[in-house]
Amino acid sequence: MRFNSLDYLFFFLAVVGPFFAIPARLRKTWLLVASLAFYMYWSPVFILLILYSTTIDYFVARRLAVVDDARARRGLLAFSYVTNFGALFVFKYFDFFMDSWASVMQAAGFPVDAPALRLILPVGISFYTFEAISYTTDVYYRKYPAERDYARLLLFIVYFPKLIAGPIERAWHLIPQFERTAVFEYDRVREGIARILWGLFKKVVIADRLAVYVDTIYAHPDQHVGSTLLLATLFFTFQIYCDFSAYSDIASGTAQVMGIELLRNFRRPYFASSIADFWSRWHISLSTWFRDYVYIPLGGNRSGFWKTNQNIFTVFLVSGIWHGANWTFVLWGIWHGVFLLAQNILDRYAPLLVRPGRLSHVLRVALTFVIVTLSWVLFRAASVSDAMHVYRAIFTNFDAARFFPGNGAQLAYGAFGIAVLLAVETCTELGLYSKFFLPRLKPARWLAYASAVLLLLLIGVVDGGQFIYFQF
Amino acid sequence: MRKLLLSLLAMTALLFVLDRAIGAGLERLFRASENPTDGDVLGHAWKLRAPVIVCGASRASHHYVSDSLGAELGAPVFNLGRDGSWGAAYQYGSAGILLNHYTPSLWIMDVDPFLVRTHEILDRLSCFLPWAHSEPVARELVGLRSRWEPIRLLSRIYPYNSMVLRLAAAHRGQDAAPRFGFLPLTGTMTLAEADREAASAPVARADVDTLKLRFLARAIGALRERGVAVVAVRSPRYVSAQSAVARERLDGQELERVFARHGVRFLDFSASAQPHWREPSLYRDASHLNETGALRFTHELADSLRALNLVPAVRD
Repeated sequence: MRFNSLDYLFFFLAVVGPFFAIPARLRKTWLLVASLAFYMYWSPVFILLILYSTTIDYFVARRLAVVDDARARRGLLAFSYVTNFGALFVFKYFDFFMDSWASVMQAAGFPVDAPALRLILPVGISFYTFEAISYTTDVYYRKYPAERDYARLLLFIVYFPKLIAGPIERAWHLIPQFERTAVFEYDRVREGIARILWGLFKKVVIADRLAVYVDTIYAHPDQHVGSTLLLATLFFTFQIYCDFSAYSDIASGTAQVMGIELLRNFRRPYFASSIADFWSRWHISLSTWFRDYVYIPLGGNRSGFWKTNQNIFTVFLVSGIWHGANWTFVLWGIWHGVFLLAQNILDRYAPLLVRPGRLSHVLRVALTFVIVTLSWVLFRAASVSDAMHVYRAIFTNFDAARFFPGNGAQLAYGAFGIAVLLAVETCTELGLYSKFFLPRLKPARWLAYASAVLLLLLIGVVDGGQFIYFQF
Repeated sequence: MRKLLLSLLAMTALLFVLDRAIGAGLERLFRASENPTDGDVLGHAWKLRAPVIVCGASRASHHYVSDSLGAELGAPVFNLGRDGSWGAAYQYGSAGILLNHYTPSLWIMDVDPFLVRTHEILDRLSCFLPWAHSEPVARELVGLRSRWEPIRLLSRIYPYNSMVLRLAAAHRGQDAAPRFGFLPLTGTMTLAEADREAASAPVARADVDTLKLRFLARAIGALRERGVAVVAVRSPRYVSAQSAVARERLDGQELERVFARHGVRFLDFSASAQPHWREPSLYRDASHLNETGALRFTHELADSLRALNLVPAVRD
């Protein structure tokens, strides 16, 4: 059930209506039933995998709550890790590692026939695995008590708005909210609906529209010159942001209507003034997860400059692998790691190069945007060789005369969508939206809602594709 | 809750009015446009009451010179060729809609293996959206895209989704004006392009799609029922490699068998059947004739139709 489908609209209405109508004590059960149904709409069989790992985590956490022996506790935590990461490895990475091993052996002159499972990837597995891991780790470090109520823990894992593509929630943030009795508040519900609408606009009008051009070009990058590939890459930069942040907006808006606040996932990332800043604005729930469960356990910034940078690099390497079982994602992670290291080294050894000031800030934003945009080539290309071709073409075969415009109307719709996005984000970044638009111009707000709906009908890609992050 | 419901009600009313107003504007632009991609070609065909209809994809729209064919046959010809509409569902939908308004005498199906091979791309059936409110056949076909189409069609804008810029361009006269649905292609394919395109042409044979076969049978059945003569024509495509020629021959034999089962005459103008169509200067690209090629093809087609005594008579 895609968020950008009428199926979801009716599902949403069918869940939210009764949610406010039934007694508060039944709401958790109602949400659990709805969430399980939501997931089973995708893949009925894979719900068993969630139930299996959640059951293990439940009992592991319960034992962790009563066991004091350090070795036994480590063993319990390891058991949880093996269960969760094991499933993730089997479904997502096994074939990748086998293929890579076979390639290495072949290159070394020892061709092998590597086994392959060719399994279907359960939707949302990367997301709910990280949530489960965060839960048992927090219980292990006694940052969060072991959950006594199995249904509540299961609801934390399967809560439908964030189940498929995040935000990656934490038990301490989400579970207590299930216990609060959400009353119907007009402003909160309206804001939630507006957020859903903005998410739909970004997905249907911007992301899926840009995807038409991007998919055409990236299907055969070898047939296009640098100018075309650069535009496709630029479009993809906005496509992936709109696509992923749209999912987060719809998820957060849905939860907000029911009185639950999900973790924030995006904060206008293309206004970042450095790679570090970018990662504090992009997929925030993943960045903070890596910070809390990889970077800090590795030693964080407590062991000197170079060890800190080594830890950062490790985090980005793992982040790349998390995104997908393909060398392109690994290189994408390395790309960001390398530029972050470069920034850290510059900040330390040549601080005068990055003097503060408005012009300097604008230049840094522009430079960060260029670095991030070029990194998306690795993210979007089907293979490393495709990505290398794109880079070569952009820098050595620009050839504006042979630019491929595709369908001119598509380009115009795409450019219009980007312009709307930038206008809204600029106003928000500069604080104009909350200062002027929100409190004073109620009619303008309603007009904006109506315009968004009409644009969805007028130029939206109604039967658009899946959300990009669903594949992870 | 009451406040929200009232707000939603007010918003719905506002959207209803705006949707109706914008939808009506788009419909006017659409009805005025004869552009094969985003215009009311079916409406123009039935207003003309053309006795001869050519139906197919871009190859139909660029290969059949409507006015020349009309002059040779002595009856107006309208070309319903539409980019990407090579499946049988387009034939069925177009026939169903036109037959609701008048009965042509001769229906020329421009065919190639894609008419029955590869899966019908249901998304392409969106071309029938502008007729979905008034034509049952269009509603049936559009309904195949998604079970939610009837709800989407509550909007008057939705049938013209993604068409606004093209309709505005057509209204301002920026589009090339088609001649009774025919859109000429200018320029000539270079030999290098010919070799490249011939080499990149798909060689694998996709499966025959049962849905397409059903639509083909229904289209022919509906036309026959109204006494419309149907002829299947395979217009030229550039092929040069021996393997491609052999493959094209096989495809031709298959198409002949398909149409023989329906008692429809199949005219093969492919380069494998008529080697003089292997001349690159007649093509714009490997799949499309340029205007010179189109005129030559149209003339040869008219000769064949005359020889088969398929010259139509104008009727109601």
